[in-house]
Amino acid sequence: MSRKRTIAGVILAGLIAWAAISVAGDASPSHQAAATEPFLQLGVAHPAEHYPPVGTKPIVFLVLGDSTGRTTEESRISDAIHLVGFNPEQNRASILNFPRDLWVPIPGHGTTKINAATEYGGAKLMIQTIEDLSGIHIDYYAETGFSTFRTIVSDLGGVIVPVPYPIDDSHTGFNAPKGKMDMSGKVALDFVRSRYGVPNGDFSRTENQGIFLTAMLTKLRKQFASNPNAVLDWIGAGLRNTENDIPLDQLMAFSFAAGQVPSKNVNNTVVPGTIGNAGGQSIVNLAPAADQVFADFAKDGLIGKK
Amino acid sequence: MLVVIAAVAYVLLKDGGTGTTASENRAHGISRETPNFSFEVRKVVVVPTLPGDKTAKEDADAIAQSVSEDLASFYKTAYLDPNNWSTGTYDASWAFFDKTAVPDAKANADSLTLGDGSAYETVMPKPSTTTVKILMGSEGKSDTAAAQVTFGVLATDKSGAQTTVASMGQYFLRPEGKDWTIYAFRIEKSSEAGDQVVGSPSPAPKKTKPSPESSPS
Repeated sequence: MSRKRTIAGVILAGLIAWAAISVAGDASPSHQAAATEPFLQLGVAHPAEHYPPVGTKPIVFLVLGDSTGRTTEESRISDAIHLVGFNPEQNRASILNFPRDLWVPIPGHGTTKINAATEYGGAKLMIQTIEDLSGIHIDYYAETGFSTFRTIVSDLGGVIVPVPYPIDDSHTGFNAPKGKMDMSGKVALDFVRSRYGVPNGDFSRTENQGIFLTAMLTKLRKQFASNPNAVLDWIGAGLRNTENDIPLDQLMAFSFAAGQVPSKNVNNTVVPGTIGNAGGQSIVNLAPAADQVFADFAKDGLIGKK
Repeated sequence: MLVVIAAVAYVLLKDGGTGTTASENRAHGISRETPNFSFEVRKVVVVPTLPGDKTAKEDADAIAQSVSEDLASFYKTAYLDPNNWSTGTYDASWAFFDKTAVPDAKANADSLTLGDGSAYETVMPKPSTTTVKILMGSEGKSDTAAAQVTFGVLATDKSGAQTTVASMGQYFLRPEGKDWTIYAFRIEKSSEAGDQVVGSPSPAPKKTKPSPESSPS
């Protein structure tokens, strides 16, 4: 793998952190075998709206993590689904994590697991699905996969992550005590994919993705603080290797905005849900409390108060 | 005694676009008594944005020279033009900033300019350097650049006492016609009695991964 490939995802100080986490998908052998090229795609959610500016208004990103390794838009399966809201005025951000097994209506495809939306209609259908479900308006989206995640973390020199409790997941191979751990790309991927040996299965996994994300943002922010012009390296690398239709001015604005959000100003929430069953498959049903979370996020791109 | 003032403004794109201040304002902003000044360009770093881009060294050097010349012009208005420092007014300096950055620049005038220099008799530049990192676009043109500067002046008051004033940090610029316009900055100004050597910015930039000097393979 060439170096430019290995740094393909290192595009934006903060956005990349969001994108990078979004790979915690199904660890089944078939999916692993299908892994091919790393990729990172950035785009505007609604082309008719042109490019929503990063200024004072909240901006919402949809971040998708593909578990198939496929580089064509069709047939990707988003097994990690996050909304990331930036509120520049408050210098805060919120991450809203969607369990992949969330049982939701997908326009034109009945009610099924949310992660099937990209398989049916790419990122566009996922955007429509989440907007219809939550009432949250999405401005931009980023999509990436396993390989990109690993290389991003490696290129950052690893990330120190506070493991919240002892985890021993024989499926991913992740085994660590509670406490801070310096994770390489491979170990980080194992951590964010672990849903066995954690207290609440898929919910815990999704929550741990947020923990990792925050740790990564902290590292990126430190790099930005010590040398702001590093953003040019990230953007240059990203533009060389990314499917991107976002103007440079916007990328710079993203970088500056994300590079300045302290990790303590980032909160991490999993969409409230309950474990259920549909047609013999394990699913997650939306809990009534989800409506309030969605409404809160839709208001200003944030969950909760400062 | 060492006095330090810092300014940080990473200007975001406000609703309403990216218009710039008219560059022709710059031509009238420097008086004849202003001492000559130019930066020594210590290093030029090219960051390609296109796969396989091999920007010619001379093209990159020319861009870096253009960036450093515009920054030198800015510093002339902000530190060296006696019409400005003697009155503490720096209207000509704001013409070097993007329209969206002007309010932040004005708000940080204390750190971006010499400030009130009415007590000084003379202000002379010290050897100053810049390192320019260029984000290359298509056709050998640059979309944006970041310049790390180490600038200094020696100010002498009417009693003959000297003060060294240093300006160190980073500017982000983008092209506007033939000129370069500042749209973000992180600058620290310090002053110290005597003829001090102008040092390196602190903290020194750390090398990050990926390497800034790496070319696409």
